[in-house]
Amino acid sequence: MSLRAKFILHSILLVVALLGAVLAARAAMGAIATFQHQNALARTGDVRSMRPWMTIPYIAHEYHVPDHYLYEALNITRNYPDHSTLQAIALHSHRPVNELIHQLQMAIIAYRKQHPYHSQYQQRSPSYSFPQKQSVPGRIAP
Amino acid sequence: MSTYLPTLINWLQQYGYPALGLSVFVASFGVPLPITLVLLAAGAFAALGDFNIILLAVIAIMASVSGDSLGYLLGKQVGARLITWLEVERSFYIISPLAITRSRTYFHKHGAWAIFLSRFLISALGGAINLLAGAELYPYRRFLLYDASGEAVGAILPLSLGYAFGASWEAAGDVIGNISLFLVALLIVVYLIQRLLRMAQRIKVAKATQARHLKDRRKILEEFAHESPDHLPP
Repeated sequence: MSLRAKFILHSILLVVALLGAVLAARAAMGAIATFQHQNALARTGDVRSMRPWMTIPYIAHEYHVPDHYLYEALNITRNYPDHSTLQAIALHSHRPVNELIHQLQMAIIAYRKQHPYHSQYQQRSPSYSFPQKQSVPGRIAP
Repeated sequence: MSTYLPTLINWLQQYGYPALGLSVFVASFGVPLPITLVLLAAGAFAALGDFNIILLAVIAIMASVSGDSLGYLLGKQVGARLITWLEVERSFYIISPLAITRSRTYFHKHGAWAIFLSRFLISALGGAINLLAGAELYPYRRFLLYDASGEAVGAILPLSLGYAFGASWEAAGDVIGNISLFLVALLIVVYLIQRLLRMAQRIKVAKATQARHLKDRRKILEEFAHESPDHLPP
């Protein structure tokens, strides 16, 4: 192959690589935006950030809900292997994982409604319209 | 989400450190497993207190270096013989012996970068690079040095990101993947620009030489024409 032909071929490859770099840069920007959104949801304790890889203790810690409450919400016994992910629980109980996630999300929202003074996220999360803090007689919010 | 990822994360939760070590070892041998995502998840679980982050890093680095060394050994045992056989001059050959010698020299010169970068930036090529390094008889100590350095970056970066961002590790994994892709594209662009500049210089030199030859030839022709117009060279 002559030097001129090689030069033309390399120039074409360079254009393709530049195009690839631009596309990759755009994809990276999009991924960063998604990450920021996800991270904001997770930081505010938004239940939409729940994922199939999470375990019950993880969810309990992340959303500040007692784990026995979550086990009860899913109708599974406490002695269930603690380190099973929601995906594994769904597989064992023959239920779709999205159904489990939805049940847990509802349970967490219900718990926050019942225990507004326990939920540290209620004031910070703008995505849910929880009822305003009600003063419970005889109890002082921390 | 990769097909194997939920299974790998479940194993990680069920069996702990041995599951992580085994999956990292298998992946570094060349089996395509989403290890960066598993490490991100492990980091997230460590933030909760399920694992010790330092122990995770140590196990991940040790397992990956062991897997890479096994690949290197395999390449040395099988690939080196194949390359030596291909290098012998024959009347018929698949790859020219000259090209093989040239590639060997090239790998010995630039192999360190290939080994280092393929540990975390282009991890899909890691298994192939291990085999190639062994086949090209790349010095093992140097291989180990660049391999361990690359694997340290490849393990510590996702583990710490998972530890820092917890529940958003999946999105962090997407960011890492896309940034890696961008960096690879950028490296290719830089390499191609470098090659094009060299080629342009060679074309310029070739043109100048050609012009000088033409000028000399014209000068000789003119001299001949002045001396004896009847005896011009063809």
